[in-house]
Amino acid sequence: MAPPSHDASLALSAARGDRQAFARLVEENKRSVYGLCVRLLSDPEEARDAAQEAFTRAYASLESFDLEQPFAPWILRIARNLCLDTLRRRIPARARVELDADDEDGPPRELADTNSERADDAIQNAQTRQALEEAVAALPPNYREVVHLFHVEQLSYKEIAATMGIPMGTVMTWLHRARSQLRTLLEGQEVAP
Amino acid sequence: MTDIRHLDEEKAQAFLEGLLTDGERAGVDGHLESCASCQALVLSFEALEEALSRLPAAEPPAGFTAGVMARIDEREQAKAGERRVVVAVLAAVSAALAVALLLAGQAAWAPALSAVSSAGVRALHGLRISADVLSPVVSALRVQIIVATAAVGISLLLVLSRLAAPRHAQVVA
Repeated sequence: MAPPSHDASLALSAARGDRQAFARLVEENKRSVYGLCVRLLSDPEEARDAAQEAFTRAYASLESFDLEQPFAPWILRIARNLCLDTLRRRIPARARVELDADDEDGPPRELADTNSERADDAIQNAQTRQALEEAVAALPPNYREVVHLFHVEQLSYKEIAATMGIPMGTVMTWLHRARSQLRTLLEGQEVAP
Repeated sequence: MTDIRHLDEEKAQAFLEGLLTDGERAGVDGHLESCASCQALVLSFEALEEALSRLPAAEPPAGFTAGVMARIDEREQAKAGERRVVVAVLAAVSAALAVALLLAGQAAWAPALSAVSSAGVRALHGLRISADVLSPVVSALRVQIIVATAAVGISLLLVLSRLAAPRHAQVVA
């Protein structure tokens, strides 16, 4: 039998009550979890709260963690679900739509984004990197998430699919549509830094 | 040269990601040699992907891990407190019941206990489980058995209330 992976042995120790082991898992994954929360929520305070809550819930549910799988997609999934809950609470009921928009085959369904107006202004005036950040922030949350996981966290399609709980084909479709929207948003601007 | 239509955005991205078949790729390569607009489309996506890969990841604030561990401690203490309260209430209810039975006097509860133990004896008879040995013993000692069971049960609950300190709380993620 293959020896347990690094993640698995830490998770196993943590599930047996070893706080130091869990603290190491937090240390090793906090950047990606917090980064995703910031990308989805666009608010550092809310992102810190969501990310810390994600780890707290993960600790409480360690016995349900599949030791055969890497820890990162699992904790990222908990974090993204918390962020989506926060976004749903933030959106007025009358404007609420399904956050994970767009079936693979259907036309894109846009989610009203609370930052879109501010982001549009920034894109017109700011320099390239800032413009790109703002353009990403103006994407619907599910597009923003795949862009972040693929380009910033450099997860594979398979890992993104596991994190988001969607088929790989949907990941590819969302990523392509997200890039097309970004290209349109940034049209006429120099993209490279 | 392979004759193909202009690239759409989906195909341009698939081309850059290496997701096309060899045949499709050869067709796109051939088309790009002679089509400036498709070249521009591919270059724009290439520049976009390069810029996206340089997007910085936000750094977590100082004390992040300590904050997580403090939250975990807080949740576990709250859960342990809740559990102790539940066990203590159960113990108190059991003790109160035992005291009430004693205070009510044998006349009040002996017939009920006798009926319960007789039912037990009948069940043993029905099951034919060592009926000839157990029935006389149970019949003779029925009151003592019930009182002893109650005493052991209460003691067990009290011990559990002291030991109850869950390793960690169960919260569905």
